[in-house]
Amino acid sequence: MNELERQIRELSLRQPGDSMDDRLFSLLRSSSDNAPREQSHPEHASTSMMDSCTSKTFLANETTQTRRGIFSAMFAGLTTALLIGIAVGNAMPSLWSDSRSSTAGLTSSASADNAIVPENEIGSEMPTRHPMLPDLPAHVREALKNRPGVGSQFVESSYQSAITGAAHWEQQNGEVFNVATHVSDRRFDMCRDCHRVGG
Amino acid sequence: MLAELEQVYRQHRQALFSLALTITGCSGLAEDAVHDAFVRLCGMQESPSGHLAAYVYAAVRNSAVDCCRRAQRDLKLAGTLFAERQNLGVANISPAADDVSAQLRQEIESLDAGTREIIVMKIYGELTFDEIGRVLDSPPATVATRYRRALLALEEKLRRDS
Repeated sequence: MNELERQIRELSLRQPGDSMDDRLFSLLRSSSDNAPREQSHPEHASTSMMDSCTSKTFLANETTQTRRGIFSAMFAGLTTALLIGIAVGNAMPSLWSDSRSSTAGLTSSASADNAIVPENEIGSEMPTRHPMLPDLPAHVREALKNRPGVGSQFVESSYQSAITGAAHWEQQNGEVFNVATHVSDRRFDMCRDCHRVGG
Repeated sequence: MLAELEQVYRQHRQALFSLALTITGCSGLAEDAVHDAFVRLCGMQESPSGHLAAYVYAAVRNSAVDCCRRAQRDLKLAGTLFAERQNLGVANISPAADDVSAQLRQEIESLDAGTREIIVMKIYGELTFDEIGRVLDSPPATVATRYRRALLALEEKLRRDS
């Protein structure tokens, strides 16, 4: 120990109060008499149990390291969920726009020819059924298609826009289709769902 | 185990309190930290492996950190580590030595908390660097380097000011 260390050692440290000695000695005595009494204290019960379980391994960090691990795990979980959410959120619009553009291309060509694209051709390029439509058997679909007074006023063809469907419907029925009540393709699909199930 | 704990407490009482005071900056919280640590230690079913005193220092240190977090206090030292000059109880110190001591106290107080912890454990607790490293979860060489650098810095400041 050099001179400086000796000087530091000779400095008078602030003394703990007598109450600390009283508390500690009473604790040590009561623990020697009845150890479970201290463990039953609500504030320290969990830490005492933890100590008894991990007394061999914890030296340096005790509960601090445990809490740090919990916080790290929570943070990692939240970050992963956030990244997945961002990825899905970014992918959805592009998928949706791809689907709509392919549908629009198909319907525009159909309207240009003033003809309905056959179902088998549609099915070769896109799903055979709109996700919102119920999975009906083929004979039910045929029956609904051939009942103009009961079912939908639109043709039973997947991914047909209102305008395209209206042309065919007008050709079949000799009436004028009121487009004003069918604002968009999306709305058209909704109407078609209701009509198809008999609404 | 309890008898050993009592012996460690009697032997290291001052240094344990000073270590907790270094972290909490409040004598009341420091006392609570020491008490909490011993409550945990008394609840243990088996003796820890290794040096018990180092284990107790680690428990007190972690308890002090927990106390600070519970109280949501700033870790900045609010109360001094050393006793006030009028409370030293040593009347026959020469004015020059008194000035050096006061300056030394001031310089130690200006050190960062981690270095103060090392000084308390090394000089007042008389722990080895290996034991201090286990308490702080640092390599002993790192602890020794920090300690020696702190002493060199203190010496330099005292020499410059004198």
